[in-house]
Amino acid sequence: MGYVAGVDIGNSSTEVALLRRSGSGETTFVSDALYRTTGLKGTKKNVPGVIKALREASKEAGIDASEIDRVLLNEAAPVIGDVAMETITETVITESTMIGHDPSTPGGVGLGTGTTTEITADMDEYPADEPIVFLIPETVDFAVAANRINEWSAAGYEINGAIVQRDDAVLIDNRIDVEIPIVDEVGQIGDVPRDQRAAVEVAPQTSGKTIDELSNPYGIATVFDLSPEETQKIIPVSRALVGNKSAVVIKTPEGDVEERTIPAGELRIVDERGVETEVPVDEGASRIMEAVMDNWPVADVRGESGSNIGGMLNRARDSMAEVTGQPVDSIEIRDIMAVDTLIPQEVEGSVAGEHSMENAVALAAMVKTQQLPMQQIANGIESELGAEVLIQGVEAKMAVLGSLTTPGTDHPVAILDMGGGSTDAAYMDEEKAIDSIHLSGAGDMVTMLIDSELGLDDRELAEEIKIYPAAEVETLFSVRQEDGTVNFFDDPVDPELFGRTVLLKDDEMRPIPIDKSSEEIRRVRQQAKRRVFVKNAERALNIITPTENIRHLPFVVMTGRSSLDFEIPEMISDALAEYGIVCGRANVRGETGPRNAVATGLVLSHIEGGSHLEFEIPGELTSALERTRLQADGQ
Amino acid sequence: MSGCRGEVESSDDVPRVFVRCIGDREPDLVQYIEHGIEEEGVSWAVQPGYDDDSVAVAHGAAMDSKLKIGVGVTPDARVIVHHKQLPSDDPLFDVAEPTTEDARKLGSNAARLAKRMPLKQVG
Repeated sequence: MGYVAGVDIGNSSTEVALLRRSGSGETTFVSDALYRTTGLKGTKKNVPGVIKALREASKEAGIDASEIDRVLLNEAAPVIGDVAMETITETVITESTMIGHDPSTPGGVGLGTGTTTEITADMDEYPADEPIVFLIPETVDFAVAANRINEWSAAGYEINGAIVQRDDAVLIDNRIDVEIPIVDEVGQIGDVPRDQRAAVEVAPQTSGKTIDELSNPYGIATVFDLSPEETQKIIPVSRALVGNKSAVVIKTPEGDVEERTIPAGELRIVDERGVETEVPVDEGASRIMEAVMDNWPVADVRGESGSNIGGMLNRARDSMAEVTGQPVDSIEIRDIMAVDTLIPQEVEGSVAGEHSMENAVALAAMVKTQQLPMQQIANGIESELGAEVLIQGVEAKMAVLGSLTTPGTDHPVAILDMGGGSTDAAYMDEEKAIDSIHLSGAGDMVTMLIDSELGLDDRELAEEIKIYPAAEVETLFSVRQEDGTVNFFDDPVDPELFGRTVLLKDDEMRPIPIDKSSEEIRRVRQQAKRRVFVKNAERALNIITPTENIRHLPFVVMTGRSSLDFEIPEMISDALAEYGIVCGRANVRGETGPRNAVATGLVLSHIEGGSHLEFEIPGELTSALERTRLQADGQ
Repeated sequence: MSGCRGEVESSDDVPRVFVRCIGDREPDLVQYIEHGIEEEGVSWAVQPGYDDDSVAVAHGAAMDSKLKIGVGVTPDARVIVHHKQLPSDDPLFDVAEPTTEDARKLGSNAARLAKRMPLKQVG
């Protein structure tokens, strides 16, 4: 009787598969375990995590960890993934020419233009022939403000609109005799220029319509009598106001709106022969990806120093140099993935916290080097447990063996291992030879896209939005899920959840602090997953198939952390269905789902398949790569 | 959207938040509650002259309101916001001597319950 454990050290989790070999040679998998990876993958710090996982698997099998005879480690893929974002446009508005924060309860209706005037102004100082837009700061009570508007109106002045600091638009509108558009909740009312021509617009509230004059560059041109050149400059303002129920535009003499392109620098993609291709980042993701695929296989990628992307590429390189103890110059970036995105950025010079959607490029990079020092980890495990430790096999190959224990699979087969930092693919052909690749762009990139597109600035929240479905708390006792189904509760919800979009977590509802419906959250979430994983699945499978034609792949099996996601596997299966491929989530040993493929594969490799695989494993996949001193010394 | 005082006419079909005062007087802070409701664009009625435990009055107001929302105000400036579907002894808000700002927010929240919008943080 003996016990053998397969240990897979991944970027975020360490998995174990434990096998019992009886006296008669029968082998059975008795348990599996998972523990978070301690330290950076491929360093001695991984040892505590491995021991923890081994102890858990032993406990579940009813034995002590010291009873394990052999531990089989994976030759971890020496890859590190990282992500960064580069904004390539920005909108700068000087002299506060726009108010577009879209408060929830504006007052009145229509489009009104006039000269900005303090509500407390002295009537004597103003000629009656100039139309007026009143500015009402928080120091003026709404009833007082309403009275003044009526006084001025009665005195023959043309009052055409009002801009209010407090949330008082409706209160004022209900007390005045004139019908004017009123925009409120203007926090920085002190920054609104006085004695300038302004246009205020409020859409009819019960019609469901949005404004149509100030969101139209020609509408603004009409109101302010702009020249064609001035009209071109005003386009970012009108664009920012599209979809608003209310807005204000103020024309100032020096007032200017600029949509600037931020120099994001260039990427230099180096192919195997050392030929460099330069791609300016602001040409967008498709240009970048075209250059990557044209130069495949990529030997290195360099970014311009000083740019966000250049900084990220250098950080990834430094990180890997530290782990392997190799010089920074020997570290190479073997793949990048670029995705175009729009991110809300606060408009510089805005008066009420307005945001505009700016163009950005999201980039994931993958760094690879020669070999990770797995021997150190092996020695560490051996000295703690006293078991013989073998570095049994290369991650990708072990993953294929493990995946083939999924019922219904056979070789040739391709596997897609989707994790947090990288998307890996491996292909086993008819002769059972295995080829593998690692691509950048995986779970972490999806999280970054969700974080930036929703303007969260909160990676942890973005991560949860990625993995949990959204819903809206419609009443004190019910929630409507993003697909429309409604759930009722016996007890009322927390008041702080009422009316909010929430995440349906396992045992609680987490409110999302931004003003988006569950459908919008779903759209951003699914788009992010599609743009990263479906694209990378196609990219990976295209590279890995011998004929470079996906249609020839009979079976594709998905493994890895991201294939546990509630949507990703189906999105990929759907996309690949058009190629006629059988694609699905793995079910290792018919029980652990997409987890434990590598750990199981390591054990299978060691026992030469046993009865667990339907075919004979080729020799080169069954001999261990390295052994610890324990074995070599025969102790 | 409209506000009114006293008994609601039998011909009044408008769904309203009922704001009921315990005692004959209307405490000063009722007007701030009203401002909160009015700014949200929801109709209401202020009804003084009630006599009972404040939470019960607020729940009674919610039971009578077509919007299922009631507010109770005591002479010593305690404000309770209640909903018909909540257990009668467990109102949504129960604030003693709120500031005028908070009284306005409580009014806003009473209206937002009807509008299914997120509630404002009080206190």
